[in-house]
Amino acid sequence: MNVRRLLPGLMLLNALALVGGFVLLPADSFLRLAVLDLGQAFAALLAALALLGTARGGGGLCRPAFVALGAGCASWGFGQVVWSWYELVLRVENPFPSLADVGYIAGIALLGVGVVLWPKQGGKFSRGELVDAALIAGVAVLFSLQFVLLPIAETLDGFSVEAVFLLTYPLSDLAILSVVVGGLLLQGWAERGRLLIVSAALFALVFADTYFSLLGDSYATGQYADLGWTTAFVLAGAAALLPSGWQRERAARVRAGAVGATLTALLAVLIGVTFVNEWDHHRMQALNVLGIGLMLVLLVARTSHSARVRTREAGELARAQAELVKAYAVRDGALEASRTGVCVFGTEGEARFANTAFVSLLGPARSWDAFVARIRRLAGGEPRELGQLLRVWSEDGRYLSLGFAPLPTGELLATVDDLTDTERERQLRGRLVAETVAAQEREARRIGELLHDDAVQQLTALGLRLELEAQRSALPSLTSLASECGSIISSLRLLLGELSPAVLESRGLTAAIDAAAETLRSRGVDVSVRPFAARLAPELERLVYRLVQEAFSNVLKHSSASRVDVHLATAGGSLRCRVTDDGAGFDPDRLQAAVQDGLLGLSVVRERVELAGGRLLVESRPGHGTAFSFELPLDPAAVLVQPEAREGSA
Amino acid sequence: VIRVIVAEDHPAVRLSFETYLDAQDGIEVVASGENGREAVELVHSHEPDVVVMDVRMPVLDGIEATRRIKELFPGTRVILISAYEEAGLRESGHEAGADGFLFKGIMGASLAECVREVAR
Repeated sequence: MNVRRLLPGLMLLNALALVGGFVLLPADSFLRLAVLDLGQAFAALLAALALLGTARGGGGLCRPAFVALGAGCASWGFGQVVWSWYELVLRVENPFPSLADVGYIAGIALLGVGVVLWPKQGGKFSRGELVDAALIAGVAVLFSLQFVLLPIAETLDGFSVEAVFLLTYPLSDLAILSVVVGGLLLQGWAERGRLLIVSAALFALVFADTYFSLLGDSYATGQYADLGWTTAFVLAGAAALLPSGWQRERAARVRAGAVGATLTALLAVLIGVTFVNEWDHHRMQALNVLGIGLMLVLLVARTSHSARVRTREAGELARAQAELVKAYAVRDGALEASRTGVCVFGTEGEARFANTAFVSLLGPARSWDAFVARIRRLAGGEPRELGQLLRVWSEDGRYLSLGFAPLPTGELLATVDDLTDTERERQLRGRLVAETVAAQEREARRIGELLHDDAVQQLTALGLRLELEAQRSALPSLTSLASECGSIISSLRLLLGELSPAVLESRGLTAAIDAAAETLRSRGVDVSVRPFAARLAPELERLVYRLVQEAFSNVLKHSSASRVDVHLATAGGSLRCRVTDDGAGFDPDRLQAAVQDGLLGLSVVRERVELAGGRLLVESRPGHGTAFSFELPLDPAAVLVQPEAREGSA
Repeated sequence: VIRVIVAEDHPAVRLSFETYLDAQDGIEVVASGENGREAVELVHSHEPDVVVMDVRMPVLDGIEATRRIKELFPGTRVILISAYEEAGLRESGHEAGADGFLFKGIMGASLAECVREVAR
């Protein structure tokens, strides 16, 4: 741990000492030789320590790559130690090839392996990217053949171990170059920031090696290649010491285009230098080099352009995906906040999303089939067609309204609303109204019976006695009193009929309405009741009768009409009733105010009609009479809520 | 003389019927009862010409009493009296064999007229 902490400092010191020695010390001094030889060995070995140490401490995804890279650095460092042994201890010129070359070449191979083992971030590389990488590799091969391998081969005299080693350097560097270029152009690497540093390190190595290969025998320690190698190992060590995920953002901004442009520039410089060198000796050869070089530059430019386009497209795709993810998050957030339970079922019937409201009302959503089975159990049958509303009571006594809708995506949307409180309130109101109506009916009967049993009887007796007295005494005033008594009894009889419409039960609406019309007729109003033979549910008949009575009462009080028509009919599951008069009528605007003030008693009427699931319409114009119409559903269950209904679960 | 029996549960009404009819020329109230069963028994014992009877009475109502009287004494005339229009009451009365149907509150003169009419 302490060594690891010291490593950056050591690497920096070593690099400074090396550069200092390179620049400041006399060219032929032994000290300069020692500083450069040992500095490079230290640089490689320190990089190896950094890489292997990071790999040992975990290294994350990069661990296998770091092990290979570390081994490569160690191998190269070993080669450099051997080289230094010859130069500094034995003080002889290094034999070529030697054990040092084995270390160098094995090191380069291991470094290449390290890049190949670099971790990838999910998925494969696209075919286009691989083709581009292959093109770049091809370019590198052509380039190397033209400028490195062929010139070296020309200097060799036939096959020898020396020749093999001399060619192995550029060949292995070529492989590394291809791997690194591929690595930079391909998307989808993990830890791209560190890979960038490693790539830079290997570029430095490749250029130093190429320089070395071109110099061949004329190389001696102390030339610029030494700086290249040192740079390579400092960078390799730095890559290991940087934290995981280092500068992910900045690394992502290093575009393939920039890499391509750099490569193109380097190629152009090399081609330019070669062209100028060749021009004096072989003009044709120089032109040839220029032609090949320009083609290579074009190829690299073209490749980097397409890589740039792909990068841009990938960026746009990523942005679009991010937008989509955001939109989904917004949608899901909104759905989550909704009090309506929502579940989306996929095309395979799997539950893809269910908000909290849904889960709390119907439990966890698993699949469409399980959902349907559950609803069927609650509803006691198949859910109706999709798109229709279905109302069910859940096992825990909640009144649920379920809706189904196919989505344009082929998915199915199920919604559930908790109507328990609304339903309970509706039931309570219905029950109150039912009980109120029943109580009114009972009270009316009771009053009727009281009137019959007492007032009518007493008046009957009184009338007969008055009449008898009138006979006996021949007093006209007594006769008149007896007659008035008879009138009072007749009025009471009408009242009794209205209070307790026995005729409604036995002979139906037409007869009962006709009987109720007697009150109007006794005031000289011509009442016509259109025959209506159908018998309805008793509750419905009572309600209709009371509503018509209310209409008659309004005619009597407000309209001074001479004619009233009552029309009853059934149509499409509804009962329609219309009571029209030819009276004074009124301003509908004033009607609204009058209804609100309770002047017309219509608000109670309207409430009764609406509770029964019907509609009330009152139309009028001053001087054009009034039409009082209402429509009620014939379904008896809809007339009044049965008090015992769902008692158990409510 | 037309012999009449009155059946009515309300004492004041019964008394007024008795007094009024008894005061009319050619009409004599021979007995009165307060329900349908008494009316049937009185018809047995007095064999009257006309029975004036309320429809709604305890023990046995006017309709049923009419049916029994008409079974036993087809010649006895029955006039039913009701306090108010009740569905099908008039029809039921006719079916049971009643000869007349009146509402309470009618003038006594009409009642006496009706008695004479049915007894003719």
